Amino acid sequence: MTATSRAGRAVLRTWLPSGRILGGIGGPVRVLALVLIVLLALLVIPPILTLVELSFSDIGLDGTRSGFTLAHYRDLAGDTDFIRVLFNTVVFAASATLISLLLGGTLAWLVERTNTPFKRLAYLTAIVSLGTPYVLYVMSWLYILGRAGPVNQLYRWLSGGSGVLFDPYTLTGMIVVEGFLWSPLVFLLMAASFRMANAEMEEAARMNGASVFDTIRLISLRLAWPAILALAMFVFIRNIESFEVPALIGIPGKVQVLTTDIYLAVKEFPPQLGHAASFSVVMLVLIAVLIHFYGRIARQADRYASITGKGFRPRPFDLGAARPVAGAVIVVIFLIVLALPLMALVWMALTPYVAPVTLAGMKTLSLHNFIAVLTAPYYLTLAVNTLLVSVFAATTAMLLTGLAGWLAARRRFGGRIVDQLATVPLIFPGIVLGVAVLDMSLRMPFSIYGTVWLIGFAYLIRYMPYGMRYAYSGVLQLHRELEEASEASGAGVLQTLGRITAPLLSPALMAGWLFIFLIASRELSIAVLLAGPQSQVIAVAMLDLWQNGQAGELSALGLLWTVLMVIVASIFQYLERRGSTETFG
Amino acid sequence: MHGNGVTVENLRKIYVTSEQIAGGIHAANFNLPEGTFFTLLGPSGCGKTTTLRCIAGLEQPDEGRIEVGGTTFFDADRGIAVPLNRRGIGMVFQSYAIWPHMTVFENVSFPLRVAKDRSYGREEIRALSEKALATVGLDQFADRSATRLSGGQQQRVALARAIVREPRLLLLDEPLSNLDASLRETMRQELKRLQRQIGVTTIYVTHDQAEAFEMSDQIAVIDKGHVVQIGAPESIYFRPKNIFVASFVGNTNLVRGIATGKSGNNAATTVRLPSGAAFRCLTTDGGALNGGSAVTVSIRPEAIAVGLVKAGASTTGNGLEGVISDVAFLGNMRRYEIRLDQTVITANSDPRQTLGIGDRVFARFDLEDAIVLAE
Ligand SMILES: Nc1ncnc2c1ncn2[C@@H]1O[C@H](COP(=O)(O)OP(=O)(O)OP(=O)(O)O)[C@@H](O)[C@H]1O
Ligand SMILES: [Mg+2]
Repeated sequence: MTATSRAGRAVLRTWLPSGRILGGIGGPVRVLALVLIVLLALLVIPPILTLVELSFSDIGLDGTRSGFTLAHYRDLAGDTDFIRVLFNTVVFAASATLISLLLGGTLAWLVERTNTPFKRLAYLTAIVSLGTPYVLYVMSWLYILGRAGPVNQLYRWLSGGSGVLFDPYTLTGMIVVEGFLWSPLVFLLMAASFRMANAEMEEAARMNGASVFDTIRLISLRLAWPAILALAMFVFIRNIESFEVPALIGIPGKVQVLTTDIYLAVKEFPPQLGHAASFSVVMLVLIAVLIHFYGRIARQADRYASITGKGFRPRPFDLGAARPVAGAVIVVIFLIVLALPLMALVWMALTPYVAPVTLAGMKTLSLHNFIAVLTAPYYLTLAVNTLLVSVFAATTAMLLTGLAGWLAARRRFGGRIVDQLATVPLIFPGIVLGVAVLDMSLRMPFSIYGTVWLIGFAYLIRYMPYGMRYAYSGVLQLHRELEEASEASGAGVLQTLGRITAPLLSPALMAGWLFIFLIASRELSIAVLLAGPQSQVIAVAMLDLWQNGQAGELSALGLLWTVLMVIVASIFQYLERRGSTETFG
Repeated sequence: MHGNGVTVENLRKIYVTSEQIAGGIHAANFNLPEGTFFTLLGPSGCGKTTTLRCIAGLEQPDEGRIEVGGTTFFDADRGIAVPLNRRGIGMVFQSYAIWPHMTVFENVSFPLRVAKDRSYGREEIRALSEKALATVGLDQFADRSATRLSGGQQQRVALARAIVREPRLLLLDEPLSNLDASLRETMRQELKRLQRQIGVTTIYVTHDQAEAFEMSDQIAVIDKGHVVQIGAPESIYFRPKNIFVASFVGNTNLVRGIATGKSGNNAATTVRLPSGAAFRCLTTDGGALNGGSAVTVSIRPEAIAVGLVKAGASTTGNGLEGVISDVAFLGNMRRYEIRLDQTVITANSDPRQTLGIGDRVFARFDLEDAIVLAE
């Protein structure tokens, strides 16, 4: 006890009067850290403050603000619409989460733990569908499930009537489509955690006489439970923030959730900014609370995973006679999640107007839509704008988080603050960030509204947390002694960062860059409020095309864009792999 | 021999995690003349790396003073802390820390390219780097990518990088622990040869006592953050100061008894066992005793000669009588377990000697081989 306090005092004595010591060791890093803290704070804090302020402002018809009011929140509390919207949001998010967990989870278990056929097909489905813009997917499922689509066509043919089996423009429709949308990601993440779990535990249960079903129930599921829970929480959060499905299906179907309510309030004339801001603040708080719990569950899941660890190829369950059934499940999921939507897109792209799949329709097939997309200067501008903002957001985010991740992982001066600042934007649903940035831009002394830079900045803010994850874990994987050896060799901190850390970290930074680039280039919900006539990006344009009923051109555009993205990703991955073999042998 | 010696005074670095002492080093003191091969020896977690990192400047000590070649690197009282990149120390890390994105040559020449105190010309950099590579026998490997090297080669690159600037002090943190056993043996000798050839003062960290004995001029034994003994390998082995040192370096027998009379430092004294049997032994530096105090005596197994006690004949010389309770033949020696009245001691004896279980024997040892230890 006394030794402790003596040690404590000794620490104080040597660290306090000798600022020189500290300055000597951490000088340039401190300056860098301080600059970074200021930059990050300027990026992430104003949007929150703006929203809060806006939600308490009395806003006149002409947009002028006069004083403080609680009216917007009072409206919320008294509004039965608000309760309904909140209810819709929760039902929508929870049910869609359930569907994607069931689909993705079953698939993951089959692929990782049994001897089912078609394992590669399952992976192909997941990976390709992750690269496709959501707008496209939603649209193609709307076509498949819609009035004129093949499902209802089949139904009419079978029943001989003229009704519909299924109307997608309902809450149920939204849930189904959103569930499909997320199942590939759930599959990939669950497969990873099934792969990590120790198969010996399952085998031990089988040896002790448990049936396959009991083993799954008592061992596999129990062990995977924290991971499943964390994943469910994650998907639930993303579903609450979801905009594409609610916008494309919910708005025409008059089913509103929080995100579309905010969107409509801003789009209304005159814009109901106070209403949107108070809804946004509610969402921020909701998401922040959910993320807090998610963090706790995820930590728990990590602990479970590290207990079971030890990777070796487990002996898969022999499904026996059920093997063809499992194979059929995988094929059906492949059809629903990948093949049918893509075929629907191709069909729509090749037909001049939305038409049922018929032999007669075949005769009207043409490349007209593709030619229109490839020749119109409008589409070229779109592509350029989208690439510009995505490259800007990805590059700036990785530059900032590269340094931030290093400070945080090495526990350098300011590391904790930087880490927290860079992860704050996780609480922003895209549409909410859109409202905040929109309001900020209107209050800037210079005009930035309507430029692509505004969108770029919003993307930067939103995607910094992802960059942080890549950078942070990248630094953790670099042995600290690699940097220490450089300093011991006589290099200063900045030289070490430039000559040792940066080159060794570059594969991780490149991977982060690609990830941000890909999600930014298909982002809709942030940009939808920020894109002006001169600053359209592709996802917003797709939404417009959809709303104008130009499904053909939209499909052609989407297919071409997806191909472009797949090419970019492949080139990048090729370069990255080559760079990292050059570096790491 | 002009002084690139090392002085460390009262060096202290304690890690405190939430008001609990998590480890570190308490008050290390040593003084090394130039050219010394000095080893920090101790079990895992005792604070060896911490001490080394403080000297390198990778950690900021809480207290104390570090001086190398007349330059003060750190002095808590005067608020001096030379940043590590200006200390001119060569260091070999436990992981070797070879930069994978550079060639062998780029790795080795790095310290010259970033030097702050003077700038080296292109030709000079090439010449010096090649010299360092030649010293470690890697002159053929200069353009090899650093990722395509064996463990032993990596270790040599790390060493070449550490010596290329002709440092005043060389720090080595368990550089052999990543190598397999046979390579470790060869590299041990090679390291020692290199160090003699360059003549650089070296501080070496290991938990392997054989390594420490073979290579060092001086050894500091560390236990739970305290330097418990500093001395030449022989004095550490033959004159251990306390129970920890005696049992950490080599095997030993610990015999408990009562000192019969008062004695000074480094003086002979007599210790009596509870059974009444008595034997002569030696106190250590600062090991003065009062009569009647309980003591522990260390006797190395190989210092004991075992002889049969014949009925009627009296035993001569210093030693203890007992009965053999176990025998094991190990090829190069025969090991006897001898039961004294309460304790059992081990004796390593001539392999050709054939005594059996139950034989009554006299375990004889010299006065200097029985060391009274501090508790
Ligand atoms: N950064 C740190 N924070 C807290 N405790 C630490 C830190 N670094 C080391 N320690 C603790 O200080 C003690 C001494 O560590 P040190 O690395 O010096 O041991 P060592 O003697 O080199 O051991 P080994 O032979 O295992 O390398 C250990 O108990 C360790 O847990
Ligand atoms: Mg160590």
